[in-house]
Amino acid sequence: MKIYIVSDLEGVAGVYRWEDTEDDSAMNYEERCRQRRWLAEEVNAAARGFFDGGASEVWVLDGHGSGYTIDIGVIDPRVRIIHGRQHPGYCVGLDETCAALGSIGTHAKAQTHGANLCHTGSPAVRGHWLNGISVGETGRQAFLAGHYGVPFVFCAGDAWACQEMEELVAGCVTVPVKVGVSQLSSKTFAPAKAREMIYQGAGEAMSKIEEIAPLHLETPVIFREEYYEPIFDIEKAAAVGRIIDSHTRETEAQDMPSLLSKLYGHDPAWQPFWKEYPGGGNYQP
Amino acid sequence: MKFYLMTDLEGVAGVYKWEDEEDDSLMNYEERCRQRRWLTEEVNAAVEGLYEGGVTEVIVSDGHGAGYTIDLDYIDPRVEVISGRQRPVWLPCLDESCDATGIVGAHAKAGTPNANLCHTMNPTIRDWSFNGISMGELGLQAIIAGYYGVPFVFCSGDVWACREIEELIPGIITVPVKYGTSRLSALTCPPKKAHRRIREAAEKAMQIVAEIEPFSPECPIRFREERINPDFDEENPPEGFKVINAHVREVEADDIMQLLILMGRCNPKWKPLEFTPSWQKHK
Repeated sequence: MKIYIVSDLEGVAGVYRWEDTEDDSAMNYEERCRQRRWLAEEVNAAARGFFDGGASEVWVLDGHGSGYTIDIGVIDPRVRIIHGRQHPGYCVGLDETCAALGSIGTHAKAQTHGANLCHTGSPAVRGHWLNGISVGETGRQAFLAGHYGVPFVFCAGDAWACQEMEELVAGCVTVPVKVGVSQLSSKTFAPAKAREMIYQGAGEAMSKIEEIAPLHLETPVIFREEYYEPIFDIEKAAAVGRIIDSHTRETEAQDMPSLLSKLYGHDPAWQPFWKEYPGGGNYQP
Repeated sequence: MKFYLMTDLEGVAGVYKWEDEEDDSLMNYEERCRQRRWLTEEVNAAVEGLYEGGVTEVIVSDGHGAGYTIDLDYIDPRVEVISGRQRPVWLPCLDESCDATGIVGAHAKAGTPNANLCHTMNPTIRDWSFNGISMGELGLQAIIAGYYGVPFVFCSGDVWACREIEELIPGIITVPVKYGTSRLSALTCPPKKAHRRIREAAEKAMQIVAEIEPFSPECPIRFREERINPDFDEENPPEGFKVINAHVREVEADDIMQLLILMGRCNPKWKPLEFTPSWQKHK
């Protein structure tokens, strides 16, 4: 039973502000190292819960920033990490071989007033919709998993994100390790306590996999994205999709994987090594 | 029994100068890290005493600077910590659901002679008074808590801060962990001794919760703010305020909430999110 996790940083217990990748001070260095460790420890806690609950594999996509936030040095050696940037696909390794999808360090979608560090993809985005359903980053991933028949079962992060995912996926197990007070403040559990809560929740999620329905989307899929600034030139045709107005674009695709390939310019024919060489010989990931 | 524990840095034993957020030297980095640890240990000592005294829930507000001074790796895992800045209200989650409040690391109000690192909110303020009584951050915390019927029962920090709050709230348990000798000097307890004193005092404070009256000034509240610099223009007074002279503004507010809204320190629309995961509701 393979569990696929997408990790992010903004919803980790103890993190309350945007990562500053420019500030080269010792204080910021210490903070970033510490937060990478906190994220890794939350991943470890979830992995321990999944393995104890019967998982045979836990794959984690290091989803924050440039994809190098999980401190690999302290990660549970049973966990497989997909990291880096310029990925050839969206959520590489998430497919019908997975039993469930979950998220760690989850933040709420853009425009969630009161949520800590809420955003959708980038600070420029006001909102994303799939067939009229408002989704954040995690919601969109849950719909991608749904395409493969994989249920979204677990979310740890800001209580606002947990609420958002419970509204989207009935019965999923959520672990609010902090409660957003405003965009730049939150009421957080101590990281040590958050890990305990995540371990409990991950175990609970394992027992719910059979009960939770994968998210279903009618096809074709229409994806709508709105931006705060007028970034589209209505005089010109869009490279992808249809420009609705200077703030808004819609993209239609036959299903979620082809939508994401279109949006990110991925080659839909790309296959990971472990698919091209089933079994993988001695090179199992 | 739920306790709301405010925290600040300037009144922590061992701290004697302003935190320097600009100085990027290793020496300053080390000092800041160490002071974060001292604050965290004082908070932990208070939390230990509060639990021994019968508390069941503690919310800690990381109140200093950018709201990220408590070292979360070492904080007692029983507490929840409010961190961060641009908060919708000054003391989020302090409301009628709390049974008592207190503070660790308290400093005296601006203008207190001999007090170590005394100030009121920021360096621009010379004095605040509520109904003619001069108060600082401690007084404001007491009034906000009082608005919600919550008694202020515990204060650790500079002896001048302890004296200040005892004058407002007779019977409050205070624990001086240092004795200000000037704005930039103090006679301090070593941190270890401070922790022992704080733990004992916090436990004692839990025993007087029922005896301490919530602090409630008469309403309407007459508020006066004096600034160090001539910040106010009599021709263009700040909304709701009367400008007395270039340094002084005054206002009469129905209650503390209305006053905080006028001061720009309260978003009246904000409410804490109440959220219980569905799987825990069914348990």
